[in-house]
Amino acid sequence: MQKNPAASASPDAGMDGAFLRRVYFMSALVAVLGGLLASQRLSGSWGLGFFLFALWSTANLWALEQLLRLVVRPAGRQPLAILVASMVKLPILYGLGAWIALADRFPVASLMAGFSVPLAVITLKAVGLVTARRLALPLAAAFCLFTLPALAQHGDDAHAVDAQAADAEHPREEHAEHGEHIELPHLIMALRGWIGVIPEPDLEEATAAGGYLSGKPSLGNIVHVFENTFFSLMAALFLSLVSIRIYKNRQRLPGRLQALAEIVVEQVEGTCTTIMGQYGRHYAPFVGTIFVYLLCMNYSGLLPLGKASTSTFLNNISIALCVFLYVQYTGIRRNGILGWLHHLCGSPKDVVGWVLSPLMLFLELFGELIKPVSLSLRLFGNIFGEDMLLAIFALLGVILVAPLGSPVGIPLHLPFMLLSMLLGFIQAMVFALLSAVYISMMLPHAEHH
Amino acid sequence: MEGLLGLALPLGVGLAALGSALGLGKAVGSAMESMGRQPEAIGQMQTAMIIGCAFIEALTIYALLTVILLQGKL
Repeated sequence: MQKNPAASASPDAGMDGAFLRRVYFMSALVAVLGGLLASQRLSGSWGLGFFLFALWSTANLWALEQLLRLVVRPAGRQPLAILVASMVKLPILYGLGAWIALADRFPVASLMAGFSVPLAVITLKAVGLVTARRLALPLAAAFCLFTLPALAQHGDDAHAVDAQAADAEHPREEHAEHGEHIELPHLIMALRGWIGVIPEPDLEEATAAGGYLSGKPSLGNIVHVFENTFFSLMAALFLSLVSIRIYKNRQRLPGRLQALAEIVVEQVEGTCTTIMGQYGRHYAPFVGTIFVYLLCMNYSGLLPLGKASTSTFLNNISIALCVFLYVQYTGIRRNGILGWLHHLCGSPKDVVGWVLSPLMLFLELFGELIKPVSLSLRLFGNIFGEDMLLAIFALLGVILVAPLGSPVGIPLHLPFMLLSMLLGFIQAMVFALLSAVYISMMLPHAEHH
Repeated sequence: MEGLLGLALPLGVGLAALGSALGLGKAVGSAMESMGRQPEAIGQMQTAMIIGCAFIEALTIYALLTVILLQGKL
């Protein structure tokens, strides 16, 4: 049968992949959101089964698309490629699906619901009712409201009454780890309490054995210890990916993302030059990285299922320690070791200065050591206080409405989210600016001091 | 013990807040004044004001941290 060359040029023959790519993205999004919602409302296995099978169904659709493209290709069929594609589809994909279905861990209804997700997405998209742009705002609002009902709660007696009132409506409450502070639910907490793939850390055994990682470390303990490291690494990963994307697609006339990066870089460089003079350009990357990284971590606490890892003291003291070591290294490198010690003694020039220099050395050493502590405490206090404020007001919004039998609470923490956005930006900027100021105080300057 | 702590801790935070409010008012007030005198240097003044405010605010945060640390004994 002769292939009609005009048919291959018409839009029906080779359907462009754009529609299907949007379908895959939307299906994955619905899989994640629906899985979390289901695991919070119904049960962990329902949510996990829904999520897994929705992903499997999307992968199935993708494999089918690849297979059909290979078969319908107008340039001629390649039997080897078709064989490989059908090998992927039939044994591997179907075997995986059968293994998930027959594992008897997930309720069948969840698997069926997950299976129908891409088909539902295709239908709705084709009808034109559902586009990502139209859905973005309602989805975001629904997701923010959805994170309200299940909050970590105190282990205290004082909250037992509130817990009972809230428990009736929201069977997914769980206890906070330390029992001292509550926070909005984040990803690790969701994986632990709602979906149940990570076990709980055991507090008594851990503290008896001398720490979370001593004795026999269980998965729950390890995950609990490295919780904040995970979130800070996620922030670093996000920043790296965005930067790589901006750098690869850079043009003379910048697009929006590149323009944003250029604004940030210009502002940081201007500020560093103002503070440090001629050395500003050399130290601007360090200061700018601190600013952007801290900003990203602070804002992670405002996203649903995210946590600001700057709300723990150890995370901040590690960054402040980097700044401290870099400042001392700068002093040694720019002034020499003797010059650095001379600077630490208060730069004595006359007899009085030299006589007082041991005292000045002691004072200046103490001042240098207190600088990273104050940097980290300032950031920790602000971000931790904001987190606790958000969690307490969200819990209040839930408790107020719970006796009325409402499934979601009032988002009372909304104004504090805006305040937290402002404060997170200011604190990141202050940390970076103070680092620049400390570096500039170590650099050789002829005018003052 | 809880009674004394319950009296002392909020009082301490209140005093720290009072002190920092006075200090911040003075700092921001003089910043506003100098911004009015020389509007073209507003950018630099804003930067310096933010740094100064962060220093002053930090002391209140230290007081709040004491409350958070001792909260278990309350």
